Amino acid sequence: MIGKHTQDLINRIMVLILLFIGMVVVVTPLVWMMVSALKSQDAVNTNPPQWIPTEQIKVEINGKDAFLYNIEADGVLRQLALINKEGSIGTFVNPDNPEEQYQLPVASGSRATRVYFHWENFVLAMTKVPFAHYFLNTMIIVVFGTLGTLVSCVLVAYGFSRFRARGFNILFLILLSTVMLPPQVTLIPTFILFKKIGWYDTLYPLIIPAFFANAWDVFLLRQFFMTLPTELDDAARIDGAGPFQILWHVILPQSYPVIATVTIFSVLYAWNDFYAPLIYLQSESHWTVALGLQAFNAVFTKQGHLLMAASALMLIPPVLLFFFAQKLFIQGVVVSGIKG
Amino acid sequence: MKLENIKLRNNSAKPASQPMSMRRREALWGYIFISPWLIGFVIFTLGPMIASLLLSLTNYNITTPPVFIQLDNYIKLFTGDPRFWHSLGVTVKFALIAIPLNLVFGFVLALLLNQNVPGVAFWRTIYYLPSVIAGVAVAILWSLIFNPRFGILNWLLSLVGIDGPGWLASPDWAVPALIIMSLWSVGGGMIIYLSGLQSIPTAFYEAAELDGANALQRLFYITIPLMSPVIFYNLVIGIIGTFQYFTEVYVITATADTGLGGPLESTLFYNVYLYSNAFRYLNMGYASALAWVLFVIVLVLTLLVFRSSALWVYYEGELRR
Amino acid sequence: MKNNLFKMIALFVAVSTLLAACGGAPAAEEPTKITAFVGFGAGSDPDSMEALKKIAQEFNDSHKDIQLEFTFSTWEEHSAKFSTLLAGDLAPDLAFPIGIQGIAEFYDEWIDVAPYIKEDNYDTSDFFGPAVELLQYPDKTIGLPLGVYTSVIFYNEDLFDKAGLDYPPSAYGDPNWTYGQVVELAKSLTLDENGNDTNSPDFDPTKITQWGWAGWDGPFRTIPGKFGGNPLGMDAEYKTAEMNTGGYLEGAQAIHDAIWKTHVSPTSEDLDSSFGGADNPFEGGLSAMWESFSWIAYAYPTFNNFNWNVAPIPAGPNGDILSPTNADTFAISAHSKNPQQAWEVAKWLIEPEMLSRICGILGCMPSRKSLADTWVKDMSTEYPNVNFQLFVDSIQYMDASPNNEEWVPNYQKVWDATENAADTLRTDGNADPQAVMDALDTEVQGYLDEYWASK
Repeated sequence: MIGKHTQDLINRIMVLILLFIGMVVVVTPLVWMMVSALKSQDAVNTNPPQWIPTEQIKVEINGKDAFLYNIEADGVLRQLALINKEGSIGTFVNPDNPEEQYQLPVASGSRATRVYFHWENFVLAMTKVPFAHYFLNTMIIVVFGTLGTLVSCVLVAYGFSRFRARGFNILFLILLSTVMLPPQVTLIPTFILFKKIGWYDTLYPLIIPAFFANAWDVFLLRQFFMTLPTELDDAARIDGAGPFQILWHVILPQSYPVIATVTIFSVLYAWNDFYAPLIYLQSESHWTVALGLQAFNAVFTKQGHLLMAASALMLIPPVLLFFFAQKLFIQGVVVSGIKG
Repeated sequence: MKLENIKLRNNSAKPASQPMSMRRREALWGYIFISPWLIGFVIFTLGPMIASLLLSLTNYNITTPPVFIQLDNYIKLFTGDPRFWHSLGVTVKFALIAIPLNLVFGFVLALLLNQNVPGVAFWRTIYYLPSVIAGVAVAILWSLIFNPRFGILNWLLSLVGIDGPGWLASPDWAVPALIIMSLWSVGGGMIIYLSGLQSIPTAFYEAAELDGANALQRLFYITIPLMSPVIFYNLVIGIIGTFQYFTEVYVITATADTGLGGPLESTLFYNVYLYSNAFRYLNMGYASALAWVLFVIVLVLTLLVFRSSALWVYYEGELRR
Repeated sequence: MKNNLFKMIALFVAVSTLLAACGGAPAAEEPTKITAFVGFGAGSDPDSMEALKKIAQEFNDSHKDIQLEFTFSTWEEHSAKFSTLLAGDLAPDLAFPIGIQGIAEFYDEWIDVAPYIKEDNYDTSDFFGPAVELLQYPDKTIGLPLGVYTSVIFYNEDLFDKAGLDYPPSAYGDPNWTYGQVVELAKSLTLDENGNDTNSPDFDPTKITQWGWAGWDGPFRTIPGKFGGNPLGMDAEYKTAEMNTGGYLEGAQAIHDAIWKTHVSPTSEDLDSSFGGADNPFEGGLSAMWESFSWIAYAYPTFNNFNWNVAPIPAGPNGDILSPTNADTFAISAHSKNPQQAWEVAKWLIEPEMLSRICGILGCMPSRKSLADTWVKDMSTEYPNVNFQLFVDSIQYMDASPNNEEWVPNYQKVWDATENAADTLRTDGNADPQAVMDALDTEVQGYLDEYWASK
């Protein structure tokens, strides 16, 4: 018979192994993203794809760029620069002494390569676009949007979960049904609406609606509130607490995990959303970070290395938020003996 | 068996008979609390929804004003458009596989990440990462994973002697590839399960253990029932979201050689076809009709799930209505 | 006395004139705001946006009565964004740059600029004739060309060297340079994983690692003209589809054979799989020959991973030489409130010096004859091995009318159907080109009928 302690240890190790295997699967594309962020522009789309940033070596000969080749000259394997080509024969020179020239078939050699990490791509990704501007716009949307979402969705979910009223079933269904209609067909009417209010080319369409709740978060909060026993509500009511006080002193303290979840989702959504900013903003100075990221994927350009660098940078705020929000997940509420 | 002692009772907070004024007061407070949504609905949502319904009865190509054609769009949709059925089929097949898979995977992952293992915050962050990456980068990353020639997946398969298929480049394997892709970002749903798991009182588990329940029994008699509200949430959201599956397909196929919904229309999901009608063919009226048909389908499915919830969803704090 | 009176009157007149001027100053005209929509093609990457914003600034500094602003959109969403702006009564005045396909997408939206050209007596002689013709539609002239993108053959010199073959010709006029010869060359340039080319009995078509000819991977409508057919695949009235005979059928047959019979071309799966990390079949170094428009210039740095050059467009079996061409222009929206000022902005943008600058930003070949030599020189400095004169020489072979991207009724549906048919040919080795084209013909005929029924 295995002791409990050993059984625990075995369980833990098995879990760790499973998590590790899963992690490899999950993390591989992310590693690729980091690696690609460090490549030179012409190394991003190579055959076969590179896992280590490698590029062909160029040297400057007489003011012009020339590729370096590993090629055999006079029976010796050397590194020579190709400065001219006539048909299949190339003129190769010694990079240290350009007077030393050889006429050799180009196909007999191969391009010299080196491993090089282009850390400057991260800086480039932030300087090629007016990053500070974009960031400011994005932060406004994220902060106010999340605030609005939290306040309104908590209130509405509280209403739907702790109060009985005529028509509430239908209303809840209507709430859900607002997200069942594909947004492509309400885009134009909504746009005209915002334009008539005078909000075109402002951040208002991206922020104000958040203060009026959304179906996803209300639904989630409602589900969660309905798992909380009503005894504490009753106790507080007997003590003379009104609905707002019950919400503040009884419901919310028991709901930190789901509030953290809604916050994380809200922030992430506002952070990554580029579609609404694209539609409702005109001047490029009002753009958000997500929209700036899209620009690196523009057609008729090749900026995969910057796209990956920018994508990697964009991960940082939401991930930091998530990492620190873990505290709320682990410290549940002590009131009803809830523990992680 | 002492397990019966851990009965899951349905708490009812108030007796059925109540003074009218108390019920009125309760209803009033209820409406006060949901008023933010109600007001916003009337101002921002209702108008455009009605507008799109009206547009579905018209021919509207954006450069000229809409022309009223009554139900012609709907007639054409049901009787004269093979792509309607095709795209619906693609979507339904995808939903039937992806929704259950995502439910199970997310749940299992949350269970794993709810254990007391070292560095759990680190693990959770790792699994959460994929759902954070912006869509355009995800598409590129996955193109590489699924690349038939040099991609990682086929390389792994070759290690065990399997000649991997064309995945996103093959009409037969593009949708399976998308299903696999959707599982990669299951970390997003995992958080929701986690927050649910976190709120299950450990007292239940302790009592069950004392009664001799093993891990599997604890899972089936405590965890899952108490998690049923969250599972219900993920199921409904899964249905609503999956039937509108669009962004991933769009990001991958919009600029591909084989066009939106390719290869050979194998990834022509319903919403992708809708988008084509709206913004490529500039057939906004027809697209609106497509949208409302989808609306009805999803609404009916959601209603069915809600009806069934009485059988399997347990709320500790449900109000007797 | 009279003197005083005179002075009084003079003063009165002076003051009132001054007052009138002051009172009139607030009523002076606000500069007309002209918005130019960027998103139909190139121009929405960070570098281009910066450069275009600078150009707008220069325009604004030199024009007090008109102010220019660029509105940017990603290409993927340009249709949605443009549509919402139209529907919301916020239509941009100009679309710039916009290609033939973009014009076709919103065909009814553009005004006829011929009256403006005539009124200003605008000299169009400096533009390449075919490029101007390209923008003249039966019912209107939509713009004047900004940049041209002719097609040429791209070939990988290193792969030719390894196979011991002579390079393709370097100028038009070689009578032996036909697509037949291209396929012949490609047979020796297509290798399987063991290094066997297609002439070898051990060649394994399921394990190809290098393709000799990847050039028929583009839009299908670039191909029929090479076989003497009409790129649009229908009669001149746009009433009857003609896609299962002539150039369309021969083109379909050629594509199918090149993949499944001679095995020198990649399948759809090969093409769509990003060719192993690359965006096009050529830049990964896995294709010996390719045909593409010159807007591929943004990928030249990647081409530089090997030695490459360009060759003229080969002749089809009936002697037709066709260099499929795309072009960029400006277009003025029918919902613009200031078309006259929009025209002024457009004229400024296509003046030789500004046009040359913009083409440098967007990567197009300037559409003005006076700029051709400079362009060739500049490109040759950057890529010394490449024969850029061929791009200019190809202009005489371009498909000015009808153009491969040109409008047809139900444009997008016909386009999608055509591309799907081509895709079927590249995916299914057992597909019968005649059957595929018959099905396409029927489907497109349905779209044409649908269009004319609604008129």
